[in-house]
Amino acid sequence: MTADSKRLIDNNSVVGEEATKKQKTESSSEIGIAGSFSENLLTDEQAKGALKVSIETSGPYKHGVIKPLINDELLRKVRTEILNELHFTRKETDIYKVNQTGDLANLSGLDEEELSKLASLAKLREALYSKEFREYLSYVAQSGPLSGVKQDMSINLYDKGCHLLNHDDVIGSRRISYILYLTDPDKAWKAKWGGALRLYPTVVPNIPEADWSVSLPPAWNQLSFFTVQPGLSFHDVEEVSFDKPRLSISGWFHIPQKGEEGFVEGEQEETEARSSLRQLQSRELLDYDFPKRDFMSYDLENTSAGSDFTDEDRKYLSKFLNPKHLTNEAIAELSENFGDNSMLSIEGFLNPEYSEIAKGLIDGEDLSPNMPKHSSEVTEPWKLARPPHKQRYLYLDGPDSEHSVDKLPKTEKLLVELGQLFHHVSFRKWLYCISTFTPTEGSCIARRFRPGYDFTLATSHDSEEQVLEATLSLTPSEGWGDGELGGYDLCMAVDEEDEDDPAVYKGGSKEKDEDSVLFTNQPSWNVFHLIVRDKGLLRFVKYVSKSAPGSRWDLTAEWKVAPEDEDEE
Amino acid sequence: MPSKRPQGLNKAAKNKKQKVAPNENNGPEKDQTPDFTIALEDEVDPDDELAQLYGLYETYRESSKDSPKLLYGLVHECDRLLRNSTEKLPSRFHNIYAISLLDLAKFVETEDDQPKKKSGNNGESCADFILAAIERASIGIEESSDSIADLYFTLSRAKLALVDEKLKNSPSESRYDEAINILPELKEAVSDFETAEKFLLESGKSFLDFSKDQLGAVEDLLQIVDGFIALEDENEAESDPAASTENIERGRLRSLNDKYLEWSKDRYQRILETSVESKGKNKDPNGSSVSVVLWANRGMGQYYLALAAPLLAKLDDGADEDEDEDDSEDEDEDEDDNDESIALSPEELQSAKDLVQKAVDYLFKAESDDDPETYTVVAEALISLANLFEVESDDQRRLYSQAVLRLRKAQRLGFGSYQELIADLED
Repeated sequence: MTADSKRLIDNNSVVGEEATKKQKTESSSEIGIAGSFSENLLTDEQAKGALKVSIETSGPYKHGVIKPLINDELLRKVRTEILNELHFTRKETDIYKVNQTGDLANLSGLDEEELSKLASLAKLREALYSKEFREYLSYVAQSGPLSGVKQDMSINLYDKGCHLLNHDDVIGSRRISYILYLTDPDKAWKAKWGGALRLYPTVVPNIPEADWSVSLPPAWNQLSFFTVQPGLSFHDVEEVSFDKPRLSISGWFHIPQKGEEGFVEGEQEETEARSSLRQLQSRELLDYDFPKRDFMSYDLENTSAGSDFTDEDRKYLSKFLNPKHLTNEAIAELSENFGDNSMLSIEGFLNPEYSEIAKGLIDGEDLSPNMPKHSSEVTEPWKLARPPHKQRYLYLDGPDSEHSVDKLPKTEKLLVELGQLFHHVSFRKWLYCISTFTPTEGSCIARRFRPGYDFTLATSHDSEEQVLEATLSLTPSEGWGDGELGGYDLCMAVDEEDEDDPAVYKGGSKEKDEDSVLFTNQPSWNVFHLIVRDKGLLRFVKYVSKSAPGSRWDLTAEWKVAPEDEDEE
Repeated sequence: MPSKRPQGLNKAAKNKKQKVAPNENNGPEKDQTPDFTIALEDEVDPDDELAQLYGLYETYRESSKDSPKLLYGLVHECDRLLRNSTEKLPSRFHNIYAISLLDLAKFVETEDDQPKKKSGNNGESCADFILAAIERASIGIEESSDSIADLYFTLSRAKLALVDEKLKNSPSESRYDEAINILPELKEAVSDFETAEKFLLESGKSFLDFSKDQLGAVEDLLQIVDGFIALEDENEAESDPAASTENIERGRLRSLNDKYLEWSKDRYQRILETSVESKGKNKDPNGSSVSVVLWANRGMGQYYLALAAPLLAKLDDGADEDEDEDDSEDEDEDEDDNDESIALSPEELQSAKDLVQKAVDYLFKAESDDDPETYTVVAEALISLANLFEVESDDQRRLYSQAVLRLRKAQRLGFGSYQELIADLED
């Protein structure tokens, strides 16, 4: 399972979803609607026609930009109201970090006094969902009719570090996604500050390409929008990397609801069916997932219960590992700890000499200005984990077909060598001694999570069978702070009874936050983490901020293990 | 060998949650202060109280020095030894006592900005600690016959600290006059440093036998006289030019800045020369002087930056007139138009480039992972140099990318966050 866009959307505060059923939406409020928009927006047929053509011919999927959209004076008032009257709280999951309005669930639910403080906001909403504008938008986007009854808006503030990772927005009856920017009206937003809406082409439907092909930076009074297309409309919001507030109103236009003009019986159900199809994760689509995580099968003769961890094993492992973790006393202590907690962390895992060499090499690589950015810059033996609505990072799963290990560059050679260590019979014996699990098959890759690019979205472990998972943190840089810069590896429990988004771990109740997170592994140097992953555990590596001091580097391994009774034989 | 089979992270957490007693107050106290290990020199008699004091001082020297705890310990121990002593104490004792008092003064100063609370444990002010340090170093000099170079170095630092403290505490309107009044004390501090140098030569030692902290007066002096420039500028701006002859002291601070800049440069240069000589003679096999040499290179770099400062300021003033990025409403129109803002003649521009290039050459040799701040100092100099080249020229781009590399290094060593600056430079 991967986190999907549902999480985000379900947690957005909704200004007006289905809010205006009792309000006038169709005819009587139309007087003055045109005045809420920029001059001649709705009446300039030539501009309207040109916009239609530009949307029709746009790629990677149909999208458009209108600027300016709203009467400048009105939008300035809206901005002032929002900043003065609304309170934002920061929320964070595997897929986003954003400040949302917490005290405004529903504009129509407010009393008159509160509403009077947000009069301009109400006027803006009325204009956006007016018949005139819906017809205008439906025409230029050729999207089909849009509902005036089902309104769906939220207010988001992205400040430094905020981002929203790749998703396709396909949920229920959404027809057009939009975002109206309320950045500082008197100071132009600069593209380098981040916060752009980035659109991704698809390899095949439901599989976004690794790189975006269109980037639309925010601008005061600009409406960016696209038609929601199942399996196609993949996009993300680039991290805001400067200390500048990117305020926006975003939302959706939905397909007409029952009783509305343009309503088609069964249309919504059909869209929902199409959007849920991809959840089935067909085998064909999984072919596009990388890395493949091929498991190596082990010869179990020497590693199951009863086989000794000998001095020969110690001698071999000491070439890499700190000998202090290989003594009988250390193993007994680790084993007891692991038996109690099902997790352990070992600092100073590699021996000092090997650690120094490794740090020098990885540090040099990390500092190099030639960090690959676009997928085309990623060269063998490194590969790119994708598709980006599930993950993006660089990985190394061994020498490629054309090179032997010896011919790899130094850093890659070292990482592959360490990966091979995790498969070695002596290492598996040590693993058995501390865990009581006999690894039967294993998979290991080295990963690099680059600042401003990489992450994994949460995956759950749904099987009843336990697995051993290890991560050796090999991040040479310091200054990662307390998690603000991301890059941490996090495990959390899914509470089946909780209806909230399971991956919300910051912004929920404090007690819940603390309870659900079972394990975090901050980017660090030479720390080995081992867990027993059982059913109901979500795990992900948080998006690494552009402001991070370097990449997160690690080696991650997974072992399938022999069932308990087999071990005891 | 294995004990019990783990249940799985999720299951183990759920079971624990049920077992954990609700009263968490019984747990071990958090944030317990770690004990300090007192490093004793090899073969030191543990009953030798002076040796123990020296050990404690070495522990402080090697610590991060971000807490006054060890310093209070040192002062307390020195007090006790002094009270119980029946014989004259050695110069090293007095020096440790004086340095501890002087370093403690910094904590008194930085603990709180509120003047009323500016006090140590017994209500002493920052100046009280400095005065006590001066007194202690002076007594040490009187009582000792050996190694008094150390004490003079400390005395010089303490007197400069007092000058700095007095300037900081004087009201801004009378700070210029205070600076003029205080000049004799400044000269005294410089003279103490020179006396230390004499003793140093007589004892056959060199600068390399001292730490950069001990020689810190050179850097402190530069900082003080650097402030004189600003004072002079303010004073000139406020004075009536017609009445300038009334103020005979006018310009005196500026000329002092020049004088002491050269004075400091001589010291840094001498350290570097000594270092070159000692390399040949293999006098420093342990490389203990490495940090002093790094420091001297940094000092030389800063000397050349100081020489370039008036030219760079002129350039900045010109640029500010045209480009006010944060406040201008129509910044886009102005932004690319800063060619005209360069208010330097071709000769001045070349001179600025030469000076900053020299600074950069020295600063490169000051870079160290042990002191990540050096990377930011070098980056800053590289950016200054880059700004002297044509906008978007190859030279400018090359220098910016060298600066970016260093900002990244500093950042990854945990020293500051420079992402916005990096993005600007890479733009």
